[in-house]
Amino acid sequence: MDELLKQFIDEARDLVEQAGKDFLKVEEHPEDTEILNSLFRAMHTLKGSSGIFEFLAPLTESVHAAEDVLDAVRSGDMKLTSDMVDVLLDLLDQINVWLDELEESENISPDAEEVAKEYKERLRGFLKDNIAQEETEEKSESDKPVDIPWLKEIQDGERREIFKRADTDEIYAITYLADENCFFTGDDPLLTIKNTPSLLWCGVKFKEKIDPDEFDPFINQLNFMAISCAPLEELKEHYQYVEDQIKIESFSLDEIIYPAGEILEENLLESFVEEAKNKLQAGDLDAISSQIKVALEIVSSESFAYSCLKWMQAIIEKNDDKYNKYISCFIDAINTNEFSKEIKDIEVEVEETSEVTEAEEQEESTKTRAEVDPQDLSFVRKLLDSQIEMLNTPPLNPELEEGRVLSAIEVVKRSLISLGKEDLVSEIDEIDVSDTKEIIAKFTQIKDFLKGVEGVEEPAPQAVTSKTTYEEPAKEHDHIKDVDLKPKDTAVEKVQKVKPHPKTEIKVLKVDQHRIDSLMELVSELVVAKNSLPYLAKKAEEIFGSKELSKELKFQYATINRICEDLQNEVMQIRMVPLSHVFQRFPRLVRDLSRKLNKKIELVLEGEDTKADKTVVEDLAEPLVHLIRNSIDHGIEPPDERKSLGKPEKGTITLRAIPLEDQVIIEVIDDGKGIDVEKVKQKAYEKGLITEEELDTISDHDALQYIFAPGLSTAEKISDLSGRGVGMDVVKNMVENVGGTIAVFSEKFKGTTVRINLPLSMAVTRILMVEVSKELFGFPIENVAETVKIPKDDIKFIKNKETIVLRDRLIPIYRLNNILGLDLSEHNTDDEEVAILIMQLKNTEFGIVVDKFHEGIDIVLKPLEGIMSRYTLYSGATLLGDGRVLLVINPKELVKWL
Amino acid sequence: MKKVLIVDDAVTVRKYERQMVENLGIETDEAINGLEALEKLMQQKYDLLLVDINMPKMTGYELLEEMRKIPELKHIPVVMISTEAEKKDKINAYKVGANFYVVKPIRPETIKCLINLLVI
Repeated sequence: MDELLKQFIDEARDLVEQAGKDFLKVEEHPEDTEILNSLFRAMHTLKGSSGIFEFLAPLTESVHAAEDVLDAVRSGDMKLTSDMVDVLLDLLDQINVWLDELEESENISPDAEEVAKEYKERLRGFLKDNIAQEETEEKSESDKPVDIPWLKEIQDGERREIFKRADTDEIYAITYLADENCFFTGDDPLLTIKNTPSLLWCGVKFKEKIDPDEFDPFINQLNFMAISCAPLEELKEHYQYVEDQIKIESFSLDEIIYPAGEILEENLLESFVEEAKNKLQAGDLDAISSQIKVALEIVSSESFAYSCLKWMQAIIEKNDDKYNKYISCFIDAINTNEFSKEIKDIEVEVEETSEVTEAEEQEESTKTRAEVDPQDLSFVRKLLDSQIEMLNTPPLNPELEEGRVLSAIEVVKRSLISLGKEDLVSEIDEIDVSDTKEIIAKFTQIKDFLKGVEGVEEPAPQAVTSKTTYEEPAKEHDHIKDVDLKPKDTAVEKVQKVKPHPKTEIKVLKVDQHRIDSLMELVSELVVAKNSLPYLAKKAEEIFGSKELSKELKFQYATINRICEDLQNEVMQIRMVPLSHVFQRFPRLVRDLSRKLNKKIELVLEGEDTKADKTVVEDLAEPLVHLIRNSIDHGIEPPDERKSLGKPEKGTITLRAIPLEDQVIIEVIDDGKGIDVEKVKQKAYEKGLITEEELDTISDHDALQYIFAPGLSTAEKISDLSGRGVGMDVVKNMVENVGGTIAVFSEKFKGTTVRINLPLSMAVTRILMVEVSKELFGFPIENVAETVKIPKDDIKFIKNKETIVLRDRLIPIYRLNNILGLDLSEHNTDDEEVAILIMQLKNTEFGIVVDKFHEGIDIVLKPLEGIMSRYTLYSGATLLGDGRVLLVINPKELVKWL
Repeated sequence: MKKVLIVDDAVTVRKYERQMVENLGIETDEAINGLEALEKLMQQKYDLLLVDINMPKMTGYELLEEMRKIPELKHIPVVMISTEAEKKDKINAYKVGANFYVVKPIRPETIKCLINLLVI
């Protein structure tokens, strides 16, 4: 890919990311001019950088619109509303899409122009106050009316009513495509539409032609339409429950101003037209008004002229300067039987646009002249013009004047030397520097002289040919490569002077993730491989009888082990990324959703610098999205409800990460309504997850955990945010897949906390090896609370179950050989003591009787594959140093086997 | 040794301009805002400045305002390169002593002329 484009993508991504954060911040602190400035600058920079690439024009233009909006906000011309932020954030998303496309194909999709146009329109819509400017800049755009098909179908008289009653310029067309089954969901579209705030007009329309024979009265056959001049916010609130069936589009009142009706053969209003024109010129609207009344008597109420007259009447009655301009249009329409809104102020526009593009023209002309030969010579004239213009412009303050003059002289002198006109240089040297006027006169003289030179010395002026000549104008996108580098005359000297660019020290390396992954894998293999050394040492001693060798091997093992650990740590560090990678998407999510649900929610992020393994962080995103959605949707109450409960209107969701030594705790805490434990118990009972007996005895905390059971949702209403079948059980599975655990704590009316414990890394697991019936098995060390040896006689039978008493706690024990169906172990019968692993798992404690404890080792767990993967009791297997296979027990599954 | 100082807060723009200037065999330096440019100007001699207007910390206007007052720097030619195409921006640039005003993106042919004529 083109280096420059790559650079642009990188820069743009940074800018977009920063802007995204700033938008969220600025919404909280609208007065913070610093953030506003930074946002403005981000858009400005983006515009400037994308402008380099002509094919990115849609991006440049849409960013330009965003910049204009921000500029207006920054300068205090208007306030930043959430609607604006919505559009601006959408635009950022869109830019990211374009950047993705660029990265992939070095181009953006062909529909970009359309998309950009839409953004421009939406953004420029906010700049209402600057309509005049807008019209000159985007004339073609503002000419295009909004596409609301049914608007054209509104009767002439009704349109006039709307026009008369509307008290704002910006009005909204609401299209309500009511669901066919709306009667069953309790919606009443007609009532909803009739109660629209500030309703100006409403109507209905069949969805499609109805066959009376097949008419089904229980199915809604109608679409509803309404026009309102209420603020958008209010409309959105009114329709919040049918949001998905509603389309609210703003349009300008101007769009419905046009006459209708039959055109009459004979023109009865000739004299009226004459008179009205005169009166209009005199500005006497009252006189026109009384004339209209007379005229209305003579024409048929079905006619085009009648409609025109009525419209004029309505406009005069409204008495709003904005619409008075149409009066002349209607008078013309009566005369010509054709209505046109063309208003004669085009001259003004032309003048303004010519001003705007002057600087560009300068560029243009440079370009066109580039095709003619003596490029530099004509450019000198441009430079001279520029110096003259600069000196003619008064300085910002007198202190600058000397510098301005000196720099102008410097520019002219250098230019003349470059052209080989040294003789003229001496003339400049003679001028009095303090006399700006004289300097300007001299420059003008030189300019005129050069004009003559240009004319006379063409086609090959000697001074100019000594310079690099100009070839074809550079092709698009390739300017840089196309620049002529042929060593000609002075260019040669310049090339020789160039030194290589000083190399900057690289402190950050970008490495392909696969490389890190395979490095990690190799390190893991190494960790396992080194485990064979102790076996070798043992072998050396026991089989070959060499204590010396055994000792040396053990010593070497210690060194290798240490290096291995360091190596493993380092590689793990490389893979560690801060949780902010995941966290940073949530402010946006919370903002969007809370706005959608009309709730006020503040998101507090804590400990986002906490690092965890990349895969863990990535896999965490989805469950967290789910949990936060749950909190927003089911946790935090609507503001009114919160108020009545004596809580602050604004709910708080805290997303917190707490780093521990080898794991990280992530909590999603909300101060919402909490979970109703009784309901959960009831549901769990209904689903057969707990028995009737347990219903009474189960602790609230244990009962709460059943929200993670499949199909158990206490939400009564399904909203479109959460509660669509994907429940907490999915969250739990995802967390467990990365080796984490999840628990929920909740207090009714006070809030809910979901806590996720995650391992920092999933790559290496530490396990404890045990032996039973001469077989080795591994237990994840995190689940082993302790290992104890208990005299045989201390095992009691309680309720027919073997139980031990450990520090005043009753702990049920199970024999591993029984669970796994292995032969009775010799140890069990011979030994006086039994070895018991005390396992801790989700607040339950139990003992596992084994024959012998072995050492703890680090392993890389390989999941069981193929037919073996059905044995869920084992979480995986690993190779031991001596080549044996070790099966690792999955304690979570083990519990089910007890 | 001839050297051009490119002042712009956008890295893409700097790179774009730098490539063009360096392709003409002229060395360049970069500054990301007016303040940094001023620091560089104090340490080293530059033959020409290509300066953006809207930058954090110190804008192009402010940079020029400073430069045109400092005896060692006041004569150095400065080309303003801005996204703003409006006349008032150009006027403002002239007020503080910009010698040439170009609307972004600057074309290679313009750069080439500027270098050929002003970097000697």
